[in-house]
Amino acid sequence: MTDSLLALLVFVPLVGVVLCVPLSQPLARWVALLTSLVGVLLTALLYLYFDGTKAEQLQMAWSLPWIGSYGIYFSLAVDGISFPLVLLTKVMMPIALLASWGEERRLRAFMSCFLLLDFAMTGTFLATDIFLFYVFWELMLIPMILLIGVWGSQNRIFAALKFFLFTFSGSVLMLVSILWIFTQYFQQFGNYTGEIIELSKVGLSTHSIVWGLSTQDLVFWGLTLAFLIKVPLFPLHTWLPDAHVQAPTGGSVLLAAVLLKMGTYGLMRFSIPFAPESFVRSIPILSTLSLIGIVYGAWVAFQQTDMKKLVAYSSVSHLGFVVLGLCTLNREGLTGSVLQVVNHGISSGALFVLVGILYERRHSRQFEDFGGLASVMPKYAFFLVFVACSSMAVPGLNGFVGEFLILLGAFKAKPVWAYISVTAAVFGALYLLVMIRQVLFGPVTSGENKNLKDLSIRDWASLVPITLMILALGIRPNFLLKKMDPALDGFWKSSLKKSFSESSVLGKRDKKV
Amino acid sequence: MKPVIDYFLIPVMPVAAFIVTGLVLIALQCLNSAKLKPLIKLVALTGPVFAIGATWFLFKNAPLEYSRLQPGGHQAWLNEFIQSYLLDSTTLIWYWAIGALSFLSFVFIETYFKDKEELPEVMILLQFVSAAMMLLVSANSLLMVFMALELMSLPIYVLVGIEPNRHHGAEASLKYFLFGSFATVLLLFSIALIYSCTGSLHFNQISSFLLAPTGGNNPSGLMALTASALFIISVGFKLGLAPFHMWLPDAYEGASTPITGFMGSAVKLAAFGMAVRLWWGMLAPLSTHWISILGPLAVVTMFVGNLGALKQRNLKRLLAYSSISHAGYLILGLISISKTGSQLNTQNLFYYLVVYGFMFLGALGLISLIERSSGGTDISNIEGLGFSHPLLGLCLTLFVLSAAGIPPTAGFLGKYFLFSDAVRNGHTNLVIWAVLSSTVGIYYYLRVIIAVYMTESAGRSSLVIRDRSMVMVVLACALCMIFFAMFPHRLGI
Repeated sequence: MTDSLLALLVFVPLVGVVLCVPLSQPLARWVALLTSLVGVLLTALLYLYFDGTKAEQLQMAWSLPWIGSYGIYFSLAVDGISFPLVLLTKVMMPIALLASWGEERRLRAFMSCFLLLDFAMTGTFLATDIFLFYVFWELMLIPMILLIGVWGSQNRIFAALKFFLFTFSGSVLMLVSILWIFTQYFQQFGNYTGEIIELSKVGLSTHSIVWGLSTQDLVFWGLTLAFLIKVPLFPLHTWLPDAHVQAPTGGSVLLAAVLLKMGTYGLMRFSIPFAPESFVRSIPILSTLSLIGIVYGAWVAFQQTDMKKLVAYSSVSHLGFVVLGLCTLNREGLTGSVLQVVNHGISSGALFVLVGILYERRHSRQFEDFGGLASVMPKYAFFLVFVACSSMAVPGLNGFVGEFLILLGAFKAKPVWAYISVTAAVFGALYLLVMIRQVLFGPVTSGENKNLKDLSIRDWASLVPITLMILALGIRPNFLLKKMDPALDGFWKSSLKKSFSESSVLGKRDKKV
Repeated sequence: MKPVIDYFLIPVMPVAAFIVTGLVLIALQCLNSAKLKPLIKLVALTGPVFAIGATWFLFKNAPLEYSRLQPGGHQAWLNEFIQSYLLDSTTLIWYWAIGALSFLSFVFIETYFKDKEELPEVMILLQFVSAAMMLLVSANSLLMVFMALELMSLPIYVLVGIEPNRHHGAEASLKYFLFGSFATVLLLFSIALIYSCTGSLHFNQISSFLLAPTGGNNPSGLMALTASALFIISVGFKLGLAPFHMWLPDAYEGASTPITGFMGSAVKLAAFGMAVRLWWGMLAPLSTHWISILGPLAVVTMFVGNLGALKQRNLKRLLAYSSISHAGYLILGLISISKTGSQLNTQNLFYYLVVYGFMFLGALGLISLIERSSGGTDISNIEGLGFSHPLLGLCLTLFVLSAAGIPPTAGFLGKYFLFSDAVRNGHTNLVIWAVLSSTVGIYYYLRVIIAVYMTESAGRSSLVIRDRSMVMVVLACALCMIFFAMFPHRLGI
């Protein structure tokens, strides 16, 4: 069972697609939901069988031969870094489906897109072959642009194109980097392999070859640009608000909860281990951009009057924190980043679900159309406040743990980073509170809002699990952390080991401070 | 008599299958009976079928023996033939691809022309084109190249303009003919130059002459360099490389849709097969020289193709420009071919060509279906196709994604193999240009997907499928693409 568990996790959604095709339109919905619930069950098994004490190793490996002469295999495995992300993906799937339950048009295709997306996302996190990773990474784009372009709102085609062009231009450069790594490995070891662990042994020269950049720098930026676009880091974020605003609710949920996580996952899995020196060299750039992103995202979010746009810009800000956490090069920052990734997935996913609930009833997301909803929809109001609290990192809820750890790490690495990002955390509270005030409190201004229905059973079904997760991660994050501790412990040591030890990097940093 | 059978009749079986079929068709056509029309349709398909069968037979019966043959000890003409005709396992795989693509194209073309009176002529001409394509990929002397190239090109000039009342058909044909004959003249001139400096027309002798220490540095070496520059121009015309691509969009647009499919798939494959033989079989000693020209030319070609396609609204023209950009990628693959021993590693280029061939043929098949029911090949004619005909919509999406090189399609694998070859041979800078140009290209490929899925069209139910066999061709192409993506080692990777 444990041998093929990962294969099941990846392929069950595909089975769902096949089942969807011959069925009638409404049935497709149920098939998709059932498939995603099976996915949740399988992740529960994964949680049980995954050995947290050996999280630094790849476990439950499964592989099929594919392109033998290039050493490329269809191989899957999970370790402490991919584990929480797989969990997140599978748990958010049914929630995203429920959020788009009201979709009426072309249901079969809609559900197939969702399941294909599930297939690609899970595959991306589980692939241990760099080529397979790339294939899944790009495969993700196709169902996503269809979701945005076919089922989106008015400006959907523009948003879909922009999303695709941004991500694609990043990933072609990633392809060149991957090819370069392959070739370098071939020259150094005399055979081809696609295995990430094996490939990361390759030594990339740090001698400058063009414009003061070394081979390693070029490979690093080739890989990293793709990931930074996906994160998205300022100033590469402009596709995100468009995509979010135009996408159907379920698409937004998955985009925020899972797709954006690919960026940081890629940084941790590829950029840092493959090109450690270049990563350390580029920390000034990355940290500056992420600080700008944190403050700018929060400030722009504060200016929004469209709920979805607000949440989208808040993502820019929150994911800036994640990159900042990686820049700290210490354990606290890293743990914080990993947690923040999961937390942001849950909270922003939940915010999109909540915005979707309002949009479904009222077909608007503008502040001015709402007001006083707390008296009309008290249960809804409770959840919105609760999730907003989680997103603005109120202690006791999930957001706090991650953000606190990142700030701690930042303070240890460079206090200035912490000073700047703390102010943004205050902004974070501000824009969410403004949204809550405008939407929930005050008098009921519009007559249309007087008869809005409160939460339905379907809404409860998606919001209750989210709430439980928020509480669980806020009160006792250890249930997740214990499954990845060894991986995080060894992360800096094993990724940066090639030329220098963790202590020497930090030593230099401390002296500067 | 035995040497004649062994060294001449058996090796040319696949070519002969087409030629004999062509002759039989001519005989049937001379009888000029309306009753024979169904028979003609049937006989026309036996050409590729027998050719594939003969290829299979040669494959099973040790092709290596033939390639190890030394000329000498036979009649003069036989010696000449053995030297000019290369047949090894690589060539046989190319034969197989030509046979398969021809078969699918023939079905497609027959369906298109089934109610038209040009049908017999079209099918006869096609047999000779296919025979010439096979000769072309195994040509081992300049004489054979020239003969095969002309045997291939002349019928195609005719085929492009064969529908008398097709808009722009005659113009396309004339344009193609004028450009093509100019290229031929240059080719002849370069052949003359090569002959005058090396005294031979055989690739082996030419390349060993050029390899000699004095080969590249004396006056005759300069002549060889001039000749290789002229080869780039004349072959560049045939392959549609920028800046010699001007004829290509017009010819592709003006030709009957299935003929375009044939030109873009099988003919392109054969032309690249010839280019590999010419440059790596004959001019390999001068490779540093022509690579330094072809490399930048490849980049220019990609950008000209991809930028040119951006504004096209006619699907055939769009695919024509996309085919120009693909010629750029292919040239990048061509200059990155490496050698193990005396064997050229052409499998990556071949994989790309085959995948591209099936993709192009399938896409043109779809366009033809649409053209026959709605009368146009504009991008607005496919609006809403994805939901009115989900299967065809999916196929078109597959072809387009494959052309764009998006995983997990076979087109992506092809690009990946080509680019990895190029990086390994130190052409990383060219690869960076190539991926950047493919980012430009993604925009117009996406426009097709947008039209298929994201645009609501008032008249989208207007697509009526009349020809089942054309749908079968499209599906067969799509299935082949999926198969190639899953099992690339079947094509020698």
